[in-house]
Amino acid sequence: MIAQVTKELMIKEIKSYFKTPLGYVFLVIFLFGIGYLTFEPGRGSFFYMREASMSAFFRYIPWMFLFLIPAVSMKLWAEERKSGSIELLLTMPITVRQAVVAKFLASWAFIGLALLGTTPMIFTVSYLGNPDFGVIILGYLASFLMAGALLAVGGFFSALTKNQVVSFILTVVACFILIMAGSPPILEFISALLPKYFVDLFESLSVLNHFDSIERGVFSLSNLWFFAVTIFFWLFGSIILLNENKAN
Amino acid sequence: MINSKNEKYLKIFLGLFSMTLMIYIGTTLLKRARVDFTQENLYTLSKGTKSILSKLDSPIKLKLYYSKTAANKGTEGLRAFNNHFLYVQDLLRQYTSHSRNNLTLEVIDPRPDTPEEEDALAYGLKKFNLTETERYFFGLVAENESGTENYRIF
Repeated sequence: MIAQVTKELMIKEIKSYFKTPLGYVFLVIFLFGIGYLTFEPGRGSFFYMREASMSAFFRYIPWMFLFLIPAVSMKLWAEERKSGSIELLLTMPITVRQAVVAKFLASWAFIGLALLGTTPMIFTVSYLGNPDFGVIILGYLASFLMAGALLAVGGFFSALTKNQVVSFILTVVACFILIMAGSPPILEFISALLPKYFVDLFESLSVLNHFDSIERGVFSLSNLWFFAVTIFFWLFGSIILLNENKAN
Repeated sequence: MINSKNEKYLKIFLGLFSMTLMIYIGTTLLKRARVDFTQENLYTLSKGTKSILSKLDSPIKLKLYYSKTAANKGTEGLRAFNNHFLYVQDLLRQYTSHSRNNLTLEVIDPRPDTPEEEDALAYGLKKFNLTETERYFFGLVAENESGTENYRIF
C-alpha cells in the first residue's frame, strides 16, 4: 500500500532526526517537561489527584504538544525550501504526494517514540494502585492521533513559508485555535451569536474534545473520523502548496 | 481569469471548508458508534437501565443544572467536579438516546441574575455561595406532566 520510495524516504528522515543533537534535545525536553507538569505539586497534578491513573499525565499532553509539535514540524519543509534542497528531492523519482506522506509519517513516528519514552510512568501507576489499563492504552492512542493531526497542521504551515520561525508561530496559533475551539468561553461566545448548530460544529472541530472523549475511555468512530479527516486534509493542503512551488 | 496563485488559495480555502463540513457531518453521524474500554464499563448502560428506559411512555424533561463557569473560576477542588459533570452528562445523553424520544435533556449553566438561576432556586436545588454573586449548582430536575422531582447530585 505504501510505495517503496515513500518507505525509504521515511526511514531516511527518521534517521536524520538523530544525526544532529536536535532530536535528542527535543526528546529530553519533552520527557522532562511532561514529567514535571505531571508531578509538580499544584493544579491537577498526580499526587494531588490521589488517583492511581494517568489522567494527570494525559491532561498536560495537549499543552506540551502545542509547543513541541510545531517545533518538530517546522523543520519539515521550511528548511528545505530555503536551502534549495527541495529541488534536489523532487528531481528524484518521487511524487510530491509520496514525499509529503513520507515526511509526515517520519515525524509522526518520532513523536510516537517520544510517547514511548513516557511509558515508565505506567509502572509507577501500577505499583501505586490498580489503574484501568484500557483507559491508559486509549490515552496513548488519543495522544498519538492528536500528534498526527497537529503534525499535519504543522507540515502545512511549514510548506507555506520559507522561514522556520514564521511557520512555528503560525502552527502554534493554528493548533491553539483548534485545541481551544471546544472550550467553554469560546462556545459560550458562539452560542450567543449563532444558532445551536454552530455550537455543535465548533465542538466537533475541537481537538481537545475528541482527545478528552477518547482519553476518558470511550472510543467512538466519530473521534477516529475527526483525526483521519483532519490529517488527510492538512496533508492534502501541503501537497497543493508544494506542487505550486514545484511549478515555479 | 484565475491565475495560479489565486487558484492555489482557492483550492486551500475549499479544502478547509469541505474538511469542516465533512468533520461535522461525520462526527454527528458516527457519534453512536462507540466502544467502552473502561474497566467497570462506566459508559455502557446496563440491561436493567435499558429496559426501564424503553418502557417509558410519557415524555419526561430532564434539566441538568451545573454551574460550569462558576466551577472554572473556582478552586481546583471545585474544578474537579467538571469531570463528574461530563460523566453525568454523558450518562444522561445515553439515557435520552435509548429512551425512544421520551426523554429530553437540557443542560443549563445558571449564571447569576438570570432567569435560569431563579428557576434553579425555585426548584430547590442546593446552592453554594462561592462569592457574593456567584453561586454553584449541581443538580438534576426531572419534569413531566404530573410534577417535578429534583435529585441532588452533589
